Amino acid sequence: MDLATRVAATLPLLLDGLWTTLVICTASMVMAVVMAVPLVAARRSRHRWIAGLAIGWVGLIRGLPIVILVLLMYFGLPALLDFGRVPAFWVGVVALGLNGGAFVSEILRAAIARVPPGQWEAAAALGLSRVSVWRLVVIPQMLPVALPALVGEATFIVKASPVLSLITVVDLTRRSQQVAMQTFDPLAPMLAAALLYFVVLFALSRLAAVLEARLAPQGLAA
Amino acid sequence: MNDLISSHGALIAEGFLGTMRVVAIGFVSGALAGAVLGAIACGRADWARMLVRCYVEVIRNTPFLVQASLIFALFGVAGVRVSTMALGTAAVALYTAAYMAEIVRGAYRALPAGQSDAARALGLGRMARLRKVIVPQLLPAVIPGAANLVATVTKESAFLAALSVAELTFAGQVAISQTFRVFEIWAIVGALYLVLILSLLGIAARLERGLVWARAQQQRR
Repeated sequence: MDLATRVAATLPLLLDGLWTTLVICTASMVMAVVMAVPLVAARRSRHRWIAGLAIGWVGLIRGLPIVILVLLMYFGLPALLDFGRVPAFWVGVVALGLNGGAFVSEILRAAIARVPPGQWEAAAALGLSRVSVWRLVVIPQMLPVALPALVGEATFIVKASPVLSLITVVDLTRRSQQVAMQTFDPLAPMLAAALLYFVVLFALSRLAAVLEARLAPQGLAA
Repeated sequence: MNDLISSHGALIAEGFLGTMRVVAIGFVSGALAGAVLGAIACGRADWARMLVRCYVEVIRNTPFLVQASLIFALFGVAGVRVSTMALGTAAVALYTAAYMAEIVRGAYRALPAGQSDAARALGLGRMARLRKVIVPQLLPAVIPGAANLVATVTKESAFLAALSVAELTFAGQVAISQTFRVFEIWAIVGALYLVLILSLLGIAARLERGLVWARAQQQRR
């Protein structure tokens, strides 16, 4: 059999791995946004030490390879705190979420900074409450700026997700390794996995580009 | 902790040097190749531009671990015996080249079209145009981008432990298999990465600020 046929033949065997990867990445992206909100709030805090903590946390995450973060959380922490096995899937989701959350917080912060100061003042002058200012004025104006970057962040999460194959999660990468072992073919399953990753990532990066082109001009003039 | 450092400090230090070596050799060769690819991507030959575009899209839209595994598998199937270190370095170089090409292309596209026209109107030849007008204006955008890329590549290089490349993460795994001091070793390895990567990011930020400042000075003159 030539290589193309072998790749085509292994594709169906990888679909459950692809599904796991997609579930992990979706859950991690949700977790990243959830973790980003308190980080943004902390950065905007009047208390310098709270803002400093958030800055330190983002620096820590930016300087640590995701591989080390995952190994530390899956093997290191349970050893330190002396509790037995932790579910690899959830450790992976939390690690990818922590990692993504730091970057999402920077995206949101940049998007908030793009809302002109006059908008805040006008909203205050209209007597809007703090919640209304965010709901009616700031968030509708920051979303068009943030959305393409958030989709871009999703591509980073997908590209980092093979890290879960290192902690026994049967994602797309590990599934292709398993198939390679079973078929004694090291090349075709990995090529098939690369193809599937490419389809997902290419679609996401096109989406980010389209969103950027569509949303930017109508967004803010500044 | 002290006993760990005296027994396995040398192993970890060797791993640290391994990471530095994979990243340094892989990044420099990849960045040079990427500069050439970037130049092609800005050039006029349509077919060559398409080829570079395809290469860049393939690398940018697949995970690093998958790319590296494919390189290892290719060499395995071909029956060529090369050290894992060499293959890991090649993976880093191929990855770097694609991202570097994008950085160069982005910087070139940000140049005002008038620059090239004006240089031509002054009667400068092709090489002189590149050397005296285009490249000096690309550097302020390319250099900080490249510095950020080194930091990203250093982080990605940790994946190479899964392919038994003798770098820092792999050294950590070896040390753990001998000592079972799981948390301490990952903490030490993590701290080493943190120092290395944050230094690189710090340099990148400084370059960005410095070059922006230098450009402002130039314009003022």
